[in-house]
Amino acid sequence: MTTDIAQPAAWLAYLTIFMAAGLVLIMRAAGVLGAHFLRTGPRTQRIVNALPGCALAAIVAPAAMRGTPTDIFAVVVTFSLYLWTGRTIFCMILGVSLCLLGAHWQAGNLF
Amino acid sequence: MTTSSPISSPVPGGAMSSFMAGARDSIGMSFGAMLFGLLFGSAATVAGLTMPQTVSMSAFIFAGTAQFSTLALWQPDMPLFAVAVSVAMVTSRLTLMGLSLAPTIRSMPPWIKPAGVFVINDAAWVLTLQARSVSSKAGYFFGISAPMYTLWVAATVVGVFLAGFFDPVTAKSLAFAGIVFLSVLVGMVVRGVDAPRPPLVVAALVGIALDGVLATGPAILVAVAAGGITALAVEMARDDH
Repeated sequence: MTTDIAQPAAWLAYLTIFMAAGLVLIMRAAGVLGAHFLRTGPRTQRIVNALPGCALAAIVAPAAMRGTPTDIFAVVVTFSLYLWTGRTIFCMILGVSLCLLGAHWQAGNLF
Repeated sequence: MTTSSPISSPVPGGAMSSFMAGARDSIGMSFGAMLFGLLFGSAATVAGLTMPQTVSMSAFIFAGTAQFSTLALWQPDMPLFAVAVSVAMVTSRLTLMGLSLAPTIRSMPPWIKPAGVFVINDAAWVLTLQARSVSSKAGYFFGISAPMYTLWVAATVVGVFLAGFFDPVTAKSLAFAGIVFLSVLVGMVVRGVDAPRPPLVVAALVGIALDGVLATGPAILVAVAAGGITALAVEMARDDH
């Protein structure tokens, strides 16, 4: 597929890609290296374990609220069913299907 | 086959059997990675990136949110500082995951540790923390990450060829399916990670409250801080009891 969108020079494009790659690697390594300076008993480890989940929750909740009613329905049903069943593939397929069906239903492409 | 929580699947043997167990348990998550990879390849091509540029992004960055945020700022006079700030903000959770996975990474042989750091990702983090009965957590971690990485890059290549294939309604709903994918990850944290639950609720509520008030990156950092304080309070209260 071709595009008419103006593009950065090749050197700038690759500089950006490798700068982003280096930065993401530093972000990953910072946590592992930072753990050397943390005295990790069971309690500290439980607190540390909670933090990435907090970041995920802080991404998912507002993004879900910004969706259409059918999007929100898809997230709520998928999340609830996962908590109930613990079946990853089933919930993934169901969630994606609900998103697709909901969007096409709202667009009037169904029925 | 079942893909229910791996907590209850004891795996005897060494690193290789743990690797296979990880590969098996990652199948559900790989479905999400494939979907994201397809979308990224497609979106990058529509934005004008060449095939080598698109594949380089997936191969060297291997972080969907960072790749999409870079794509959002892709223009002839690329603001490198803005790209750096944006990437750092959206990948701050990888630092927290590195902190949480440090015992697993430390248990790896020295020659493979850099690879272990490079492939830290959401699914590998949550599944590794859930797996309490595998003999080698490091093997299990790579068993999840290796197929995820391979599928991620392969799906990006396929996505390049599928650019413009999806109608706008389908493309938009598939993009939202990424949130569904992340919601399952949150469900996995709730079900199986040894961590207090109230901080998740607090972080979600703070995230919703700050949506539109702060930019996404700072809002996540504030929500995580609120969640961290809640976790500390919950653990201190637990000790008191």
